Amino acid sequence: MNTYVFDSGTQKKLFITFGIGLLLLFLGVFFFNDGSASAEMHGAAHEAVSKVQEHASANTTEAHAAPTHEEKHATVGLAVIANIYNAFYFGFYIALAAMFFLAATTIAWGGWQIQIQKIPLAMAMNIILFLGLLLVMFIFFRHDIFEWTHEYLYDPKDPRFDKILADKHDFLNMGTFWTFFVIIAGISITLVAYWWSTLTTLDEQPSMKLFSKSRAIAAITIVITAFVINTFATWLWSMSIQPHWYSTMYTWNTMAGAVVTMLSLLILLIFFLKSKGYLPNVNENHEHDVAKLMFAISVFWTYTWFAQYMLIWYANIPEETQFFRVRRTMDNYGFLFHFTFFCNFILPFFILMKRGSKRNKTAVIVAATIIIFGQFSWFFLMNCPALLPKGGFGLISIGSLLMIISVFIFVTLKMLSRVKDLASTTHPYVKESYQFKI
Amino acid sequence: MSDTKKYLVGIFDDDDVLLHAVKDIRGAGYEISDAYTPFPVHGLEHELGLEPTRLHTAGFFFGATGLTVALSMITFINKFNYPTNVGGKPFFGLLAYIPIVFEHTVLFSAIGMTVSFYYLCKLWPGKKPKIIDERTTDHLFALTFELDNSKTSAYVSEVSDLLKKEGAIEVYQKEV
Repeated sequence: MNTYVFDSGTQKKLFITFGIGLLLLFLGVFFFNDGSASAEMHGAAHEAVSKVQEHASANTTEAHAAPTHEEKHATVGLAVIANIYNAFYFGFYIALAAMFFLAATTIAWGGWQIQIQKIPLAMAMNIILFLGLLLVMFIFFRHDIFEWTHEYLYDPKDPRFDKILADKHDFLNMGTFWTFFVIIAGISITLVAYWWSTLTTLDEQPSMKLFSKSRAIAAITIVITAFVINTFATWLWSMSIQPHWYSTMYTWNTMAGAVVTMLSLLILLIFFLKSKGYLPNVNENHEHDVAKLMFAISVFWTYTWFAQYMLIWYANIPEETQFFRVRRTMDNYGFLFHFTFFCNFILPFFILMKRGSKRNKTAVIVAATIIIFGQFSWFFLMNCPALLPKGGFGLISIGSLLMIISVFIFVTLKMLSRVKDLASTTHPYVKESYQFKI
Repeated sequence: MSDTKKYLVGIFDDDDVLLHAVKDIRGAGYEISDAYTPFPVHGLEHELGLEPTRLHTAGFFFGATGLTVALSMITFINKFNYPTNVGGKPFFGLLAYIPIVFEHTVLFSAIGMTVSFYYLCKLWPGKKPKIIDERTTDHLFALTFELDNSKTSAYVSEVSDLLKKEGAIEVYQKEV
C-alpha cells in the first residue's frame, strides 16, 4: 500500500463536487442581482444627479438612465470573469505555497514531514495548470480585469486621461506584464519540475548527495518565491486590479493566506489518505505539527492583515483608504469583510489553541474547512470588489470555489498516483519521521 | 534543623537503566519522591507519572490580565482623563491601541509565567540549594524516596534491595 491508486469512487466524488460548483455558478448567473434592488435608495440621488447634468448637457443623460438589458448582461459577464479569475489566482497561490512548504522544510533540515512530503509535491504540480489557466484569462479578458491596460488612459488628449496611471505607466504596461509573466512562469515551472524529478529520483536511488543538492535548490526556491514570483505576481495580477492603490503589506498578506490555505488542504488530504489506509506511519504527532503550523500562520496572516489595515487607517491618505472604503464601509462587502477576519483569525485561533484540539481530528477538520473558506473570501475581497462595486459575494463565488478546489484536488491526487513511493520510505531522513514525537 | 527531610537515595550511572528502574519500582507500588539527572532524560516525566504542567493556563490568565489592564488604562487616559486630538482620530481609537495592548499581554504573561515558574520550583534569589548528591550535576542519576516516621526499617531494606536489583551502583540514606 505504498502507491496511491486513484480509484473511480474518489474521481466520481470530485466530478460531482465540480458539477455542484458549476450548477451553483449557473444558478448565480440566473439569479444575478447587480445590487439594483438594494440600491433603490440611491436611485433617488442618482436621478437628482442626472437632472442636474441634464441642464449641463442634454447628451449625458443617456448614460445615467436605468441600466439597460445589455448593461446588466455585461455586469453578469464581469461577475463571472472576476470570480473565475479570482479562483484561478487562488489556485495558483496554493500551489506556489506548496512548493514554498517543500523548500522551507527541506532547508530547515526537517525530518518530520518526510512521510507526507509527496502531498505538497503533488499540490505544487498544480502551478503548471493554473499558470495556463491564468494565461488564458490574461489573453482574452485582460481589458475586463485590468483597468490600466486601456491605451486611452495614457493619451493626454483623451477625456479619460488619467494622470496617476500615466505616471505609473513605466511599470504598469503590457511589456512589463508579459515579461514578468514569462519570468514567473519560466522560473516556477522549472523549479517545480526540478522538485518533482529530485524527490522521485530519491525514491529510486536514495543518495545523500542528491539530498544535499536539493537543499541548495531549496534556498534558491525560497528566495525566488519571495522576491520574484510572489512579489511581482501580487503586484501585477492582483494589486493592479485597483491600479491607483498600493500597499507594501499586500504581498506578505497574500502569501501568508496562501500558505495557511495550503496547510489546511494538506491536513485534509492527510486525513483522506489515512482513511483509505495509506501512510500507515503518519500519526497524530505529524498531524499535530501541521495543525501547529496552521495555527501559527493564521496568526501571521492576521498580523499582516492588521498591519496593513491599521497603517492605512492611521495615515488616512485618501488614495490608500479607498481600498478599505470599498470593502469595509460599503453595504455589499461590509459583512464579508468582518466575516473573513472572524473565519481566518478568531475561529481558528480559539479552535486550535489547546494542544488537545490540535491532536483532535474533528477540531482540525473544522478549523481547516473554515480557513479554506475564509481565505477564499479574503482572496475574493482582494481581487473582486474593484471590478464589482455593486455585486457581492454570492453563488457564483461559492460555485467557483467548489470548482477550483475539486480541480485542484483532482490534479493533486492524479499526480500522487504517479508517485511510486508515497511515504518516501527510502529518503535518508525517513527514520526521523517514523520516530517523530511531540 | 526541623525543616530537613530524610531520603533514601539510589544512584544510577545510566539513563536507560534509570528509566527501567523507575518503571519497575513504580510498578511494584513504591512512591518515588523525585529523580535527579544531569540532563533531560526523554520520557522520564512520563514514567514518573508527573502531571502535565499547568503553567500555560496561568500564562493565559496573566495574559488576560495584561490585556485588560492595558486596554482599560489606555481607554481611561485617552477617552476620559486627558483626551487629545491626534490627527482627527476618535478618542477611543481601538485600532491604534492594539499594538500596545498586544505587547502588554505578552509582557504580563511572560513575567507572570517566569515568576510562577520560580515559585513552583521553590527558587528565589539567595536560596540555599538542597543538593542530594553533587555528582547528579555531572554524570550520575539519583532516585529519592522520602523517609518519614511512618516508614519502617523493613520498607527501607525492601526498597534498597529493589534498587540494587534494578542496577543502582550505590544506595544510602541522607538528610537534607
